[in-house]
Amino acid sequence: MKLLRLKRKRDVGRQKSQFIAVLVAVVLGVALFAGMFNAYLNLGSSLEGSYERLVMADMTVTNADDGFVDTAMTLDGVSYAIARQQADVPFEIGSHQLLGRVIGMPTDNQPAINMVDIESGTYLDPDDPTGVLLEEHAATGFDLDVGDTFTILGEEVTVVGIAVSPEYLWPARDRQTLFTPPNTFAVAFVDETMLEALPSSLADLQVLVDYKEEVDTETVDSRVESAARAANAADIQTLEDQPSNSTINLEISGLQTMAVALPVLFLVAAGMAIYVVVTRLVYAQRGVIGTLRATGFERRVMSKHYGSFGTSVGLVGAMIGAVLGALMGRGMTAIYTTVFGIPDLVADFHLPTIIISLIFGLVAGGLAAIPPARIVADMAPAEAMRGDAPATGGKRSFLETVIPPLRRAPVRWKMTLRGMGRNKKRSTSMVVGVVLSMTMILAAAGMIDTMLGAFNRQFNEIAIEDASVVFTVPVGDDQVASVEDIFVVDLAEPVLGMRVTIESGTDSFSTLLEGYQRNTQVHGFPDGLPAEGVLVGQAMEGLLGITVGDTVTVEFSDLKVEIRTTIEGFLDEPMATVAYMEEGGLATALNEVDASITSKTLQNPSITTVKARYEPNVDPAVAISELQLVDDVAVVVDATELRQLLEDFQAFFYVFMGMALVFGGAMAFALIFNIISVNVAERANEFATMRANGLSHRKVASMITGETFLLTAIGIIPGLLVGYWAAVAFMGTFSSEQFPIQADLSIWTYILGSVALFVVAGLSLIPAVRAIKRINVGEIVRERSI
Amino acid sequence: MSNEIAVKATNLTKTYGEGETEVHALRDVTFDIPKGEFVVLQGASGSGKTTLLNQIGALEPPTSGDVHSNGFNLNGLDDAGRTDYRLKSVGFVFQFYNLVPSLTAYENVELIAELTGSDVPARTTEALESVGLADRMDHFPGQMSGGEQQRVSIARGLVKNPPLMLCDEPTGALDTETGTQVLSLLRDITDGTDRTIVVVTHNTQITTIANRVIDLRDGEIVDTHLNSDPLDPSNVAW
Repeated sequence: MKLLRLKRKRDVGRQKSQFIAVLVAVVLGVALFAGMFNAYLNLGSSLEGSYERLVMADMTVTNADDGFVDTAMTLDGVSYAIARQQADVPFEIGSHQLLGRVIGMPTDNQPAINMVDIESGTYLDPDDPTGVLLEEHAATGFDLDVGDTFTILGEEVTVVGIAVSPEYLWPARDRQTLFTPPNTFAVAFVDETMLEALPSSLADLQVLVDYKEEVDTETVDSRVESAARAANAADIQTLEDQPSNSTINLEISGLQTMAVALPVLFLVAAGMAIYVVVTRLVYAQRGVIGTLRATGFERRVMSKHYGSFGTSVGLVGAMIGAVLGALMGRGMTAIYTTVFGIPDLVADFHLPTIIISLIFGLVAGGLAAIPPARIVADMAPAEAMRGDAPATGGKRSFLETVIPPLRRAPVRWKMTLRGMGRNKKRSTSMVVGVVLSMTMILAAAGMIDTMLGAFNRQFNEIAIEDASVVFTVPVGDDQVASVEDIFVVDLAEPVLGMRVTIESGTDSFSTLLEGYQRNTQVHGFPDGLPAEGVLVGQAMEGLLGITVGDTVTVEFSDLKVEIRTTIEGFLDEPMATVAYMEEGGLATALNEVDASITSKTLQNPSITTVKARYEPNVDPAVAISELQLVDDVAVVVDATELRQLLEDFQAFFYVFMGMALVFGGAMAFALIFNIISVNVAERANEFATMRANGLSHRKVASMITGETFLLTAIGIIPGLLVGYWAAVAFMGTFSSEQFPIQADLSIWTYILGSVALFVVAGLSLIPAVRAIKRINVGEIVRERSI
Repeated sequence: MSNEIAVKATNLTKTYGEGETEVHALRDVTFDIPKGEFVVLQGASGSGKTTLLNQIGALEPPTSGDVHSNGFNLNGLDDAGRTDYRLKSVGFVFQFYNLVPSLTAYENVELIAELTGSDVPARTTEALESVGLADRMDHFPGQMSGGEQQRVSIARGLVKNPPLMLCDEPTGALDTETGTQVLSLLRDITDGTDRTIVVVTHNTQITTIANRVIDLRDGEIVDTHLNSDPLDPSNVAW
């Protein structure tokens, strides 16, 4: 069988370009799988490694009754628990005023849970009470280094070390504020005695709980949660819900979905290309197959030989793809760990991924080669030795049947229409290829569209304030007026913001409740803000199993009270799942359940901010600096900066989406190129005869062009539908309660995606059109006639 | 028949490949074919007869030498010129018909008729009627016999009313009876006209119906003879 292997090698060499195109599709599919899946595994391991080394808390309980730390230690499955204090207080760093976060740490040693990595400098020193560790994002954002100073609550502190914390790998303030603009947030780890001096209303007492290894996390979560509720905890946060962790895990799970979905598209396309090329080879070699069978080659040997064209190209492609994928995986892991600031980089070479990659390639090639191998097995030697396949009966096209006037169209048009039906399997392969490519384009471009659409809605229709101004003193009419009086400000409104848990039956959801003026002009409510009741994010409908008109309990963890109110509506907001009430109604409802809660209580600076809209054409930088000059302002959060932050974050993602678009185009090219090449090769005699009879090569090429574009158009229609469905499913993997985004594709994406596929089809045609131009009419006629 | 020359070849040479693989398909061939003649190019496989036919049909350029055909100097033509020459002056008939399987008999002929002037339906119908296929016009090639398909390919050549028909082994794939019918048809379309027909064959029986027989061997003309009294194709059998 050595000679059959030699024959295979030379046959492949004679159809180099087609097999290379197939190989490229296999390589891309396998490389994408190996690369993305390796990156997914490595990223998970890197994150896990950092958490393990720095003992990331499995549960964080806030403001539970005294002694909860001891209770937690006694719970089954708990390894250890510690208590610490945390407070959001004004920082002044250089010219920036901001609401920073201080976290108390022991000074003699690192804490047992939620340790930090010291990037530079040293850990806290018991003899240096004003020395602090600055979290790495803040150090970078404010360009601070060891030895630099800034103020916390008006007291000067010195940076003794730059720290990486597992809690702030993604620097989110809380679950509702996952994206915090630079220069508006900073975390400092300080001597725990500094927090003990703060008023209890300013500092949260947190209990950090670490679980034993090998326990069922969900069971222990539920056990600790029950105990925390019994201890009147204001907030209970599992590791899964931890803001930084959930943001990173959302990306990791998206990567996992892409790691499987995208390669499957490629391998299906590669399989179809293999099927087309090998089937053509079998028909072209009918005479050879018949002769070899007649001379004694077994049916099994012959079908195995032709099947091996598929498995060989699949295996070779998989080997190249696996190597490229392994390299790509390392690169992607490094990029992801850098973007998310994960201190530990695990870039393992996962053998199972490589083995699965090889199996993917083999299976794609092997399955695709089964139909042509069966044709070989079924071929009768005598019939096969006659060479040409029996003539097939022609028939009018479907379009001519349903649109009778087409029967009177010029023959060349009819030939184009009927050309599509001459080899139905091949035409179907091309249509499916176009559908797959369109799916990939829409899934990738749809993601970009959706994110841009979500940003536009969030910043142009929902959060329509230009700036949020946080004060260090109670916010009353004077503070609102002081903001509104600034020449750059058009209007200002006070806005309440409180941590709440909304409960319905046994379900609950912890979120933020914001109170706005009835006719607020700093937040967009499509149907206005009702005087009574609460509006909640759409995701809560499913999470709590509630509908409009249902009564829910709203528990205010900081105020230690709860109210009963009705659901007045659901809001489709892409960037958060929060709750809204009219501020007057909210104050009244709270006052009814606890007479001590007056509007003065709600002026607490940790509850009330002032949101402002600028005058037209104001430079945000000027506005921020003017607002910061207002007395008692802690921080000004500019909406433009926040939007910029979000767009910068997405830019990293767009690179991957761009790659998917390019790969999608390459896949379409590989498949369409192969199908057209085979089409032209199979019809060489027909075209040569036309050329002999006086048809110019342009006219002949126009027929193939027409067929190709028609098939592309036929594939685009279902492609748009399947692509939309894929984009919806794809976006679903990136959606969460924090980002309840839904696929929102622009009409231009459909149009440009379709145009792109026509362009790819046109490019794929170039070699075929050249081949038609180069047809040696004399040679083809001579070879057939001798 | 007239005394005018339809095709004039002078010192025509065609070689394929180069070096060790060089093949001399035609060696310094010179001949004239008068208008209206039924000419047979005869020879064994590899004698150069199809190559010669391709030269006359401008399907490939010669290595050296000249061919003049019906007012065209084929040497001076580029690809577009050669296409134009074939469109206006040559009708081809091949051994394996090479019809477009997705087009009916009528449409296969109409495809060429559309390229060569107006009154397409009338000319298409007339061409098919002239080959005896008036009742098979709506059939696809896959629904027709080999003889019928060959007659469609003759109609395809005839529809542009060319002065020259070039036929490469037109009976090669047919049985004797059908082959005879096709030869009769070819004979009929030249009788009483200035149309010239050149038929390539290795079947010596077919030479008996020709006005002129050119014998080729190893790329050279070894004999040219005229039949003063060609046989009627119905009297030929093989």
